[in-house]
Amino acid sequence: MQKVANYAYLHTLTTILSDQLFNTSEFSRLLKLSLEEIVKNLDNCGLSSILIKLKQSNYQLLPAGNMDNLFLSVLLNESRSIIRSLTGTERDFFTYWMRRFELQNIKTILRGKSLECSPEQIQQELTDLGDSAVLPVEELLNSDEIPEILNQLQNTPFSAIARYSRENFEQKQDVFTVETSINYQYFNGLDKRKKLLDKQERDLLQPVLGRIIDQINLVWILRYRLNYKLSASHTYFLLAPGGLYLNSTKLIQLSQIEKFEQLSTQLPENLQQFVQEGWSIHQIELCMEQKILEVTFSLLKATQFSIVKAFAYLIIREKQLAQIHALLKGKLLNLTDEEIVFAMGEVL
Amino acid sequence: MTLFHPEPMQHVSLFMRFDDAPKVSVFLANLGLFDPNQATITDNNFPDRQGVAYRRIFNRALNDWQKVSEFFNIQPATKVSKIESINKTTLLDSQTRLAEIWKICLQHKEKQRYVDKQMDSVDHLFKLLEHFSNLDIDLKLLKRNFEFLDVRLGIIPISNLTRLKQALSIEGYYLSSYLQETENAHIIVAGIKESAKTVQSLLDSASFQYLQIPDEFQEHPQIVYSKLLEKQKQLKLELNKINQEYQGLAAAHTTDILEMGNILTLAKPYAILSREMLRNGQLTEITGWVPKNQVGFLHSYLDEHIHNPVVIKTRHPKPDEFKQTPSYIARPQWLHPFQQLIRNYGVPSYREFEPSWFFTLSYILMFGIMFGDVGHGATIIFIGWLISSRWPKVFSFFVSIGLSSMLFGFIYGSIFAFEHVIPALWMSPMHDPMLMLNLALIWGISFIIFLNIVSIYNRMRSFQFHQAYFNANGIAGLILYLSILLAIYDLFIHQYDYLNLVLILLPIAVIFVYQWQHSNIQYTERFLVVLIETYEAIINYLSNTISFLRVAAFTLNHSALAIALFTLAGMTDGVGHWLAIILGNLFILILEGAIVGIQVLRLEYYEGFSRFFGGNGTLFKPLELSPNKLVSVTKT
Repeated sequence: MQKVANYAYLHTLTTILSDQLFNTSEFSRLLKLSLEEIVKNLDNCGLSSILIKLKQSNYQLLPAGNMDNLFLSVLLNESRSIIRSLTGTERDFFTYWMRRFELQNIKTILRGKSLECSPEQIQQELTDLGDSAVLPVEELLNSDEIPEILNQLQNTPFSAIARYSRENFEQKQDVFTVETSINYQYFNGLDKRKKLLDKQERDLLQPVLGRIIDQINLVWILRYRLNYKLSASHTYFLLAPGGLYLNSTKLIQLSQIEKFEQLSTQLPENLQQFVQEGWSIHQIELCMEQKILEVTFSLLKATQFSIVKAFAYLIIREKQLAQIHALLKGKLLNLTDEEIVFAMGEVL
Repeated sequence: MTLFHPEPMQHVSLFMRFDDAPKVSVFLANLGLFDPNQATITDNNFPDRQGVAYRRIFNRALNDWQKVSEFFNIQPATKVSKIESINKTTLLDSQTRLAEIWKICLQHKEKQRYVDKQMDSVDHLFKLLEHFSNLDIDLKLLKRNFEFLDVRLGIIPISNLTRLKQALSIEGYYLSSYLQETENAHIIVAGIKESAKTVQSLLDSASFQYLQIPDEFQEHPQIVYSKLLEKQKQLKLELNKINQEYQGLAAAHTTDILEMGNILTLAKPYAILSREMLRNGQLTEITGWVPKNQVGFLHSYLDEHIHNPVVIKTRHPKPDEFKQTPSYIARPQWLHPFQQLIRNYGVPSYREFEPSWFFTLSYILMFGIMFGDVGHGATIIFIGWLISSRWPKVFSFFVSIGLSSMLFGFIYGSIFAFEHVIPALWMSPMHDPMLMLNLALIWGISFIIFLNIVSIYNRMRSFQFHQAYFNANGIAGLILYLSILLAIYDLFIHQYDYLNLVLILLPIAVIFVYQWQHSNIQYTERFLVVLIETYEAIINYLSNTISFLRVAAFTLNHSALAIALFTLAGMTDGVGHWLAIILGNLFILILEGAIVGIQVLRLEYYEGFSRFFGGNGTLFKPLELSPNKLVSVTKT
């Protein structure tokens, strides 16, 4: 009863928002339609602001970045409504989860600075987070050195991440280290916040969040070990905590692989289906993502009066907005259906 | 003693043999009636200067004396032992002796500093050792460079501890945390050197910071601890020894230092006066200010103590010297706390009305009117008595306002807020508030008229006749104020006519024209400025008058608070009732007492002083022989 009382508003909000979601099969139907017909079909998807702009432009491609930011602002607005209805550790967890986009901006600025790009060039690459932004973007862009940028971050909610990343930069003086450190610190922080949630909510969350972490870890292991040739110990150290099937013992084993072929033998049974001989890292990532969406969909339907329902909604919504974005952009550019499907992140 | 002015002063020129100047200086200082400040008149007949070398030696000696007396914490004597002049040779000997003492002090200080530094170093090592105290290992081993073994000691963020331990195990390394703080963990990492490079990269990612082991740590932490303890003990013994040495030095030099202090006190008057002395061959001139009634005494005093003749020429201050003539204000001791309040505003200039008596009496009177209560007044006197041992100078202030409060308490019939215990000699203010407001208004009008007259008087005495006649605070202003008051009165009794208007407009026109003539800015701008200033003058008169209503307001406030207090106390019985009365009285006494004190001061400053008091005078500061006022004489 307590949960019903606590999450009545959240549950209602999530249920209403969930009506905007598509069934996976609907994307195949949309793919066959013309751009005007697709836009008509998107009427009830909470994308009116984007569709009006599209109509106003007479179905012409909007300038680069504009479209991305419009889709992101839809997600951020909805996430803000959800976060507003939460308090305490739950609000903290959701806020932290949505900070991923700002983290991406930090990494873009760091990369831009290391490549000596002008502030204007870097600015173009940044995601506009509107009112959700807490980063002092102007100051960061006008900083000359990477340590200075990390110093500026000391006064933001990213201070802990910045402090350790700065220490790493001082020791190695390369941006890759800083980025890996940022990732590592972020997922450590996420795990800490997850552990502060109510046990029942945590257990419900784990099938989705644990799978996301597994996906991230598996991709990182492959990249760090096979592409960047990092040592096994270093690779293991940089992985995110809190996976579902990939616990620390498994991650230690996986971090020691030398070749792609060794992966399938080391993986736990539940993950072996995602790794096929000759697949690229991207294919593995997409395949795991589809499974995550599947599980998330069933969780969205199954859970009632829980923060997990809202979390599941945000995961699916984020993915579907990316897919709609890719679909519209593909149609505007007159791409083939195969190319659009690839861009939408579907396994061919 | 003049009641309303600074004492009349005389400009004094003393002519003497140049070698008598040090002796004359000492005796002038001993007399305590000669102020040399701003009295130098350049005289072409006395072109030379003297005492340059004397001042230089004095300054160096004084500098050393201040340092050594501070080092040994020696308080100078309260007065000099014998009045005599100090010649240059004696001063030089003293300076040499003081320099020697200071050198000894410096050596001692250096010795102490060295031991203190070592003590600090030991304390620091103790703190560092805390980091290693949990390690059961010979610390020397951690500094050794092994052939096959890679050993590292450092700090990592505590959040990285578990993950790093697992990651290192992949490389066959061992991690042990021997100390964990809030954010950091102190760790020791060991493994085969073969993977050192990989491990280094890993440690960098884990924000590992190396801990340097001090050279002093060559054994097991327990042994290092014992050795540090032993060293600390030795240093403490050394410090004790140094302290004993200090006591010995202090005992050996205190008499000398006090004697030097005496010499410097006697040398100081000449060191100060020689800056202003004028000399021609064998003759030296000193100029300064002396209270007129003390000139005769100065004559006889110098005749008595100086063997050779000292010619004294005196004259009245010239009008162009009024600004720099010091104001010597001799008032009874009990007025001093009130004088201090006046000094916060300014010092009256030589020809100005000196407001000590007026301020004191009006302050005491207004405080009593606004805070009339026999009990509260007695408590104020009691508080004054309590704090008089620590601040003796404020006792008379507390007694004065306390007595005034008591007097008006009898008039109002109020004791500790009880209004029916003692019979009122007149009435309680709450019985007729309108009468109280009217009386306050009459008091305010009288106050302003009196101070306007004082303002006119001040200007006349300073020969500023135009200002006295035509200024807003002059006769024109006074006529304006009286005309406004008359007009208001006539309005009340319905006899207002055009004559009232003429009486108001005429002084306004005079003030306007006067201000117009004294401004030299552009016409349009000048018109606006003069118009606003004239308007401000009128408004000031009215607002200042209304401001005095606060005297009645606080009188009523005091009674109203008493009613509120008894209403609250009436809600409870027994102990609660009396507790409410006691606390309420304390509240009235502390809060209202302080507010009334400040409000009266505000009335004095803004409605009073701003009307007549320039406050740009210079206080009379005679040359003195006081060992506890030894300050450097740096001007040459």
